Amino acid sequence: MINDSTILTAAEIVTQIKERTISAVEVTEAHLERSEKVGEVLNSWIRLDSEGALKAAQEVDAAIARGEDPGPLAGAPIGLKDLIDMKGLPTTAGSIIDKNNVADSDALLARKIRRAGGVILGKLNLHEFAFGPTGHNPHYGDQKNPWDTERVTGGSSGGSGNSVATGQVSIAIGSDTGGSIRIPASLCGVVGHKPTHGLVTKSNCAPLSWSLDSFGPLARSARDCALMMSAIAGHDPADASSIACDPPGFMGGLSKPIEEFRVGHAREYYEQRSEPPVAEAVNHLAKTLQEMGAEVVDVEIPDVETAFHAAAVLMVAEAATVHEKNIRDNAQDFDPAVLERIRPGFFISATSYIQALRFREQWTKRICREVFGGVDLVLAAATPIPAALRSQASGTVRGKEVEIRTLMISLTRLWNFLGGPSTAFPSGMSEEGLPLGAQIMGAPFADHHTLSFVHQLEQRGVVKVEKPPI
Amino acid sequence: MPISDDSLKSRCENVFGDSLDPERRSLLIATVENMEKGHPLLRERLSPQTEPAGHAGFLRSLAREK
Repeated sequence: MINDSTILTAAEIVTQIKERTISAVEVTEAHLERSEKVGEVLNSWIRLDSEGALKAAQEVDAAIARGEDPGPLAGAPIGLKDLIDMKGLPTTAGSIIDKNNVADSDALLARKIRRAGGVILGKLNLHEFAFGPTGHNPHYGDQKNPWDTERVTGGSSGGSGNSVATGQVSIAIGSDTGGSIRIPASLCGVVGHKPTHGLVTKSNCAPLSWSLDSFGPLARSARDCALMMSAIAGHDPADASSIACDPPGFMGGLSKPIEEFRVGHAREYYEQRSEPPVAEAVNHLAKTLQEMGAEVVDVEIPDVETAFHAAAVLMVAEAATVHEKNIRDNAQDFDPAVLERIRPGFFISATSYIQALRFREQWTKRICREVFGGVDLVLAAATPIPAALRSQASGTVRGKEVEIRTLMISLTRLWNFLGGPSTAFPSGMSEEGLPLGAQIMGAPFADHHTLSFVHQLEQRGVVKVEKPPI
Repeated sequence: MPISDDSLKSRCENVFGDSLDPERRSLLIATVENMEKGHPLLRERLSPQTEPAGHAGFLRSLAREK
């Protein structure tokens, strides 16, 4: 048994709690202590719910004492991005406008985690209204990168990324509209899974852009992401975008050997859009996969620029619709940078929005046919550069200067438009000692395959989640 | 379709309660026009029978096939 439970994965914690070598209360206390200490430095939390967490942990221990199974997440410390309702606590969405917006019930997502025995420690910090890929927040503090606190975590799920990387929680729930799970996972050096659109409930979770939003886990292993997906995936009749289907077998699917995957290497997609060390790490991984016996072939993703344009139109138009009332009533309380990002949404023509929706179906069908007709998964970089400085307004890729927010989402946004799953994972470290990230992308409902791919690489020591110095 | 400065100014006043200075208005017009650039590309690529909500329907059909 290891004394410091904050360095354990959720799966290891659950095993030890069920074997009664450690109690859920002890695990919760250790994680709360770390959250108070490290979370303060990294601006990880908007609100810790110590009382609620300890009560939930006591219930897990009591169930075990009675000989009952408290569930697959028994005693695992979990953080929720503050878009998700928890009964009795405000859901701020990272804004001061909603700071008194107390939820009168748990979102189904939170209920599912509790039912599985997970202990929710509180609400994690984020980019205001989840509308930004860096983790800046003027109200609750910029989320800071655990590898260098002068740098961004990536966003919008920045508190989810830095809390998982530093052992404040074993799993965090984030949301991903243009990369908001995968970007912080990549920049903080952890695993992040953006599920198939409609696979995880969004009821009573604050939206950014309905047709692109997905909620999913960040963790220190693909197994932990699969464990969480097993608990939260499934149909929710109250969520209009929820899909009525049996979710894939996430845990069972982890055993698929790497040799059985046909991997498309989307070299053309990411090479010119990322800095050389990022691209080299993915190219090296592709070679390693071949040496391990996987079939790796170059693939081209068709019509990338058009899809990117259409995704941008959907995102800003829907975000403007979501926030119109708030803007009319409280424009002065918005982060000015977020307000300026929403503003173009009020000027997109109705025909542009509808054409983007129409194109989306056609393009998705084409990707399923032309790309996934030949390969199981597609490998690419997740973020084009390692974590930027928090003061940085732009970044350089292949000699071209690009505005930082546009740059950060340049490799992730496409899969929100597709609606497919994508798992981001560490692919190495930069010369400055910052994590580099790759992603493995699947066809809709191939979530178990993207997670299995990363799990298999972890098992073979090819993918490693390192511990940051803090 | 190009947005006139007057119409942008009036819509900003209506929704945001501000009219923006001329420099920020021209930046906003450039941003919107850049986003709308994709419009003719989309139009060319679409078949007439493609429905706007087809993506959700397609995902549901994939779920049924599983």
